[in-house]
Amino acid sequence: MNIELFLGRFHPLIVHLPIGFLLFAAVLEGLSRFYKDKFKNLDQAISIALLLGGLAAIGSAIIGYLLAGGGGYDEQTLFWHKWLGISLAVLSLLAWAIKSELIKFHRVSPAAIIVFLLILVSVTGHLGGNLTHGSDYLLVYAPDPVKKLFGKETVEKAALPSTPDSLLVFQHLIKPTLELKCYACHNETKAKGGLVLTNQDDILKGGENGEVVLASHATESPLFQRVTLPQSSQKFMPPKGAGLNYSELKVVEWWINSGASFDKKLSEYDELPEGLTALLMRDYHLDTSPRPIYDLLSAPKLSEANIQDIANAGFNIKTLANNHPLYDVSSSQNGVDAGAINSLLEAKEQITWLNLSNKGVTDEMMQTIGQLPNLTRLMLPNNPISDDGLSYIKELPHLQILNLYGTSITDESLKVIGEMPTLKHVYLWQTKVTNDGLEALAKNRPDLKVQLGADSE
Amino acid sequence: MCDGHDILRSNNEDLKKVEQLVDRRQFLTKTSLGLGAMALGSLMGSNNLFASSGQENPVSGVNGIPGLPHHAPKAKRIIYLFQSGGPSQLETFDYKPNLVDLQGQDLPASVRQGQRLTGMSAAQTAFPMTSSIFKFDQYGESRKWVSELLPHTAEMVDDLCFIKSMYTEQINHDPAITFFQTGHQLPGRPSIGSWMSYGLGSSNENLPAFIVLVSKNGSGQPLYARLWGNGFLPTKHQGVQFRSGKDPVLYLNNPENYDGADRRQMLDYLKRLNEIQYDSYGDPEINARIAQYEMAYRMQTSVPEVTDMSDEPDWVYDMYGSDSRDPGTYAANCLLARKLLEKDVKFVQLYHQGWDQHGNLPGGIKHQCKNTDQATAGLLKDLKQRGLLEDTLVIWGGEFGRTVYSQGKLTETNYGRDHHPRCFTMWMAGAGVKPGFSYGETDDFSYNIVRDPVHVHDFHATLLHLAGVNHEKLIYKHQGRRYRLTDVHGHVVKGILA
Repeated sequence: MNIELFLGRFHPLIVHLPIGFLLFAAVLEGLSRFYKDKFKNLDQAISIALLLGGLAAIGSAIIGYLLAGGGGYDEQTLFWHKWLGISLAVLSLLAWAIKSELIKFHRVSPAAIIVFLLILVSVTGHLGGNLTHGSDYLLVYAPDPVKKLFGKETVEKAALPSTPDSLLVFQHLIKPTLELKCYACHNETKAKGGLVLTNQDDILKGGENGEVVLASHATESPLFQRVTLPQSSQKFMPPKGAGLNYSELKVVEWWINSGASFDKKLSEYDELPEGLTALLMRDYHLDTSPRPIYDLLSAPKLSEANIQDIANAGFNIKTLANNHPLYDVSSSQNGVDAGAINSLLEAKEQITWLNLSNKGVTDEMMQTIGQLPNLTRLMLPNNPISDDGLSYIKELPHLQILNLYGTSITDESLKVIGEMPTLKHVYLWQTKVTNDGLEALAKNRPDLKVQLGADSE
Repeated sequence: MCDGHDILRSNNEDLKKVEQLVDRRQFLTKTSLGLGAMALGSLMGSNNLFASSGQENPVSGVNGIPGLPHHAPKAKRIIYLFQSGGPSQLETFDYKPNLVDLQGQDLPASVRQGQRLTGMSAAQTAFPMTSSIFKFDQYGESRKWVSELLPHTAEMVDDLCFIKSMYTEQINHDPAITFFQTGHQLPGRPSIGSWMSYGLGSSNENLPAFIVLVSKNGSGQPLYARLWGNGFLPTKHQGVQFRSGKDPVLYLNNPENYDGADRRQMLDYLKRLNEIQYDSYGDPEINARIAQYEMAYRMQTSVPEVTDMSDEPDWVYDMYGSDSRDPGTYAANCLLARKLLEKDVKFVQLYHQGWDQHGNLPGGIKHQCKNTDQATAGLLKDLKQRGLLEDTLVIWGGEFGRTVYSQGKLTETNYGRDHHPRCFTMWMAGAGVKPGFSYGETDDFSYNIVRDPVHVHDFHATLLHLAGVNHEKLIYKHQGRRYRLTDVHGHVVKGILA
């Protein structure tokens, strides 16, 4: 049992007495001053209010002093709160003495003292509030203009980026949780247990019992232990309000276990545990699945004139998506000729999907197609293409899907295909490839998905 | 027009346009024709004032609306194999071995949870549970359970993405199927394909963006054109139903002694007449009519080409099953659908009726599976070997599932199952979904969902997502209110995305 702290904790309760009495005194003083005719005989009441206010202020100051003994408060704020509180008590009694004419002070009117008291009550009370709730408490939910007025940062929490590329794990995933659940007691003003969690240095420094974050060892880190204790435990954090939810716990655990980095981006982590990706998706709307290649490539903007030229040459040309730099092109005619194919060079860097199924594409035309560096998907089925033609596209740096069914390529081309490292999926139904060639390819490139047809299986 | 009125005219462009369309004198002339004309007058007035006309080029519209797709699409084409009537999940994909031990026992109240049943079985004194009379086995590398009724589909499980936890709010066919096809249980909203056509346009201007194929000689629950209707979207976005027979589209050939040039000339004059009509009435339906004539003209060449099956070798027919030689069957429609997809038709919707086995389920569902299994699997294989599965999404499913308890008498060889909206299985395959994957889970009774429920709205949201559309941003304003396929609901089921 700690009788001092027991009494001390009544301070936030008792302080409202002097505040009330002194405000009441101020109200009465105001009435008697501005409505002299109606309120003539308030002087006695005012002095009683001042006396009670003074006495209550003394009481509050004493138990406040006891509370401060418990520690964990910002020194500077506490200093000012203490001394302003004490002067408030003294000043109220002085005002009482003057008002009830026990002493005479001709130069200072009691009204002026009461106005001063009012200011003092507000300042002291505000400092006290800051000590208890933290200095942000009052304005955290204020509208932006109000915040600006008081010089607070208006955009404290940056919006969560939607892609893992620009998402900083600590900044965007860990810090908001700390802010919500821990800052109230572990900030620079009010460092409970000597622990401050508002910045990297203080987090690493830990509290009075030592470090709280042990990189790579979540279950041994006091920070993680305290938030995962049974909720009934005295040491469970946060002591008030809801604890961390499952996702928050999992993210904190993973963050510590993966090294507790303060500046790493989500995309810089090699592999996320599967459970975590699902949680990130569900609760943070973060899609951590790998992005398709065509969303990662960039190209200069294609001019309307170029688009028109390509359309006039007999192609459907569309962007992959609104404002997407790359284009999906397919032939709208029954066949293509060399001239039409050459027009594609006007969108050399922009064409990423090209569909020319059954359009009479020849080996010579393949030479042009090989000059489209950002091709990721190339559909060339049912065309008179041979090994010569295929050799022209072997340098395409981003090609992932290659459809060659119904062409005349042979095992020769399989060797070329085997040496295209970005290729993921190749369609070889109804070609001249042999089982031997396919086996060699499978050995060489076990990751490559080769699609043969139903009749050749 | 009286000159004095000009002073009162507004500078607002929209108002000017309306004023041009209907000035007082014209209005009186038109209305004097009678109430019908008056109705027309009000219709076109409201359309011009409130509908989002002018958002797209009224005649071509090949490119959909500006700003779409919102992201690069995984699925450039969608084919939806709608199994109308509500196929039983218990006899197809949702394997519940524990039910064997519970055979004939009454459905526990803790499972039913007071659910309202249909009027067809609510009066039953007992609800005896029954397991599937058909055996299940595991297939493929993904070891997915499939019933013996679907041996061909079973071969393809490594390409399928099952959703075992579909649910809907509708317990009867009409509202349930309307809900699935339009996102709302009451008729009048645009269907999925119409939204796609409206939003994304067409990839082949010679064919409609949205084509509907219905298996011939269908019996059971009726199908109706509003399931592929355009609702309040411009009329040209409605699904074009091909006839289920030898000639999917009639009268494509020019009449004798009438060549293409004549037809073209006739259409050009007709178009001019229609345009004059549009200029004076402003009815957007006139534009739709012009677009439809143009489409029909182009289809004179494109449709015979795509429906010509003469160059399909025998083994293709073998793959889809022998029915595929009989035009209008489900199998023949699957084959035709492949050809349409090869031509980049954006949305192909097949319907196959007859999955409504209230009684005599073992016999009925066996028949249904036999008629569809091989063709469905054949379509998948065919799309796969041609590389089309890469960017085509295939969907299989009905409007709801069926109950674990028997409707009517349960015997050793016979039983029935009533409608069950609380859980059922669908599958998707191809573009953008995880292959050989199963999402969601039902309880041991296949009665309630225990993990990852997927609502019809979620299904729609996911479909649009795969097609490159943010379902919250494909909006059409109609009668003063903004509409989406998912209305105010729907979440993309990210768990199934590859």
